[in-house]
Amino acid sequence: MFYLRKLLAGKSSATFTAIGTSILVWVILPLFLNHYWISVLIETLVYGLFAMGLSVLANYTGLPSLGQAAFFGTGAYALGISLVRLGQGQGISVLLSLAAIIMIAVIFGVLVLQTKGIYFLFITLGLAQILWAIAWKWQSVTGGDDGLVGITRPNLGLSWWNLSTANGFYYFILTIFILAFLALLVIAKSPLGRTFVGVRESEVRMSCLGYNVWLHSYFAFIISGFFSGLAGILFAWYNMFVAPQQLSMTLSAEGLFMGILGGGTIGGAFLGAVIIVLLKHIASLVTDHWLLVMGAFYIIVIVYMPQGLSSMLQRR
Amino acid sequence: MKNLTSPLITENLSVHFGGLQAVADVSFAAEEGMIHAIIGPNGAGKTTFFNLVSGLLQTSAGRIRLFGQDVTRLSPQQRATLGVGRTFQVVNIFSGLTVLENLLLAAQSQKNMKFVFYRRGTSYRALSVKAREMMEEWGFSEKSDTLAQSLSHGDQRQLDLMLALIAEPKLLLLDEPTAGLSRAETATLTEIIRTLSLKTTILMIEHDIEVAFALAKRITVLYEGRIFADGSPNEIRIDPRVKEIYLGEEEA
Repeated sequence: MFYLRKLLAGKSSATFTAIGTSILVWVILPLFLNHYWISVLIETLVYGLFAMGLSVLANYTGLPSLGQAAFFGTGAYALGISLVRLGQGQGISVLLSLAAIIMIAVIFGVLVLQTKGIYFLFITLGLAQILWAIAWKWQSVTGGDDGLVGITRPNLGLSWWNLSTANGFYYFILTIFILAFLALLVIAKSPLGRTFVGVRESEVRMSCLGYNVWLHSYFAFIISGFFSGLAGILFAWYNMFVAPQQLSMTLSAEGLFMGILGGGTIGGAFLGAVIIVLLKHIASLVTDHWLLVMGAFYIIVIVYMPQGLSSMLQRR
Repeated sequence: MKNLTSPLITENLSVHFGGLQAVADVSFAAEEGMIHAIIGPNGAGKTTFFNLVSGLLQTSAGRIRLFGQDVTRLSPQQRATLGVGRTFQVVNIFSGLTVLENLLLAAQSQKNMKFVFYRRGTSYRALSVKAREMMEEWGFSEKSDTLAQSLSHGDQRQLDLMLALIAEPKLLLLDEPTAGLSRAETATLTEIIRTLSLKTTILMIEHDIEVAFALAKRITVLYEGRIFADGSPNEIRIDPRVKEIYLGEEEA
C-alpha cells in the first residue's frame, strides 16, 4: 500500500485514473455478460498480460523478440504436465511452472543477448520453434499435436469463491492479472525499469555512464519472460487444454503487434490486446473470413498508425 | 616516467581499421586539474583517441592508464566506474526520456540501487535533490518534464554534459562541446567549462581554435593520427607548422 500511494502521488495520477477506471470496468462488466463474453474478457486478460510482459522487452528495452510464445507455452505446458502427467497438486504445479519459466528465461537470455536487431529476432524465433517442435514431437509427455487434455482449475477452498463457476473463475484470473499489472507498473517506474529505457535510447551512453548494458538487457529479458509465462499458466487454467499453438510464432507476432498497437507503454500493450481479442471474436461472429479482417486491420495500423493508438490519444 | 597517478597516461597508443592507421603511437599524459585541449584537422584521429580512452574502441597496440591503473583491457562501463565521464560529438542523450529522467538515470549509474525494481525511482530523495539542484544551476528547472528530443540543440548539448557531470567524474572528456552552438551559447558553455575545471580534469576536443586557446592550459595537436605538436597555447599559436596544416586544410 505504501508503494501504491507513492505511485499515486506522482504526476502519473492521470495514468492511474485511467487504470483505476478500466479495472472498475473489468470488475463490473461480467455482471452484464453471458458465458461466451465472459470467456472473451478472460482472453483479454490472458493475452493482455502476455503482451504486457513482452512490452517490457520489445517496447521498454527496445529488443523486439519473435519468440515470446516460448514463455507462454512453457508456463502452459509446465502447468499441464505437472497436473496431468505428474499428478501434482495445483500449488506445486504453479511453483514448478514458474521455476520452468525462469529457467527458460535465464538460459535463453544468455543465448539471445549475444545478438542484436534482426539476428535477435531470428534467434528468439529459433529457440521458440525448438520448444514448439518438442511439444509437437514428444507425444508421451505433451500429447503432440492432439495437445494436453485434462488440466483442472484450482479450488481455493472458499465457500464464497467457487472457481468452477464462470464468474468465480473470471474474478480469480482478474485478481492475478491486477496484481501482475501493478507489479509491472512498479517495475517500469523503478530505477531498474529506467535503465531498460536507457538501453533502448542509447547503449553507448549507458556504457559510458558505467552501466553494464548486457546485464540490464538480461534482467529485462527475464522479467519480460516471467510475466508472459505467467499469462501461459492462466491460459492453461482457462482453456484446460494446451496445444503446440501456444508456442507458435503466430502468438509471438500477435503479442508484438499488440504492443505496437498500444503505442509502446505497458498499459498500451493491454489496450492493444483488448482490441485484438475483441476484434477477433467479433469478426469471427460476423464472417468466416475473419482472418482476412485481421490481416487488413494489421496493415491499416502499421501503415497509418505506426505509433499505435495510445500515442494518437496523447496527441489530442 | 611521468607521475603514475596522473588521471590519464597513454603509452604508444595505436589503433588501425583495416589498412588505415587512425591513431598511431600516441603517448600522452594529462595533468590533474587542468584543461587540456586536443585540436587538429578533420580526420586527425581526435574522436578515435577519445573512443580508445573511454573504452568504446579496443586498442591495436599500446597501453592506457587511468588514475594509475592499467585499463587497456577494461570495458567502457568499468572505466566509467573508475571515474571517466564523456560527452559526444553527436549529442548522445536519452531522447525519449524527460530531462529529469535523463539526469536520474545518469545519477543512479554509480549506485547499487540501479538494480532495485520494487520502488519508484523518484522516491530516492538524495538523487532527486541532486538532479533538481543541477537543473536549477543550469537553468533547466522549467524544462524538467520536457522530453530531451524536444530541447533545442544548445540545450541538448548542455544536457549531454550534465549527464556526464552528475555521475561526478574525475576525468571529463568533452568531444567538441561547442559544435553547432551560437556565439552566445558558446560563451556560456566556455564559462561553464572553466568552472568545471576547478573540480575535475578536463580533456577537450575543440574545433573552434579560439575556444581552445581561451580555455586550455595545454594544447596537443593531432595530425594523421600522430601527435604533431604539444605545448602551451602561446607555443602552439606561433608554431608555423601548425598554421600550415590548418591553412592547408582550408585551401584544400
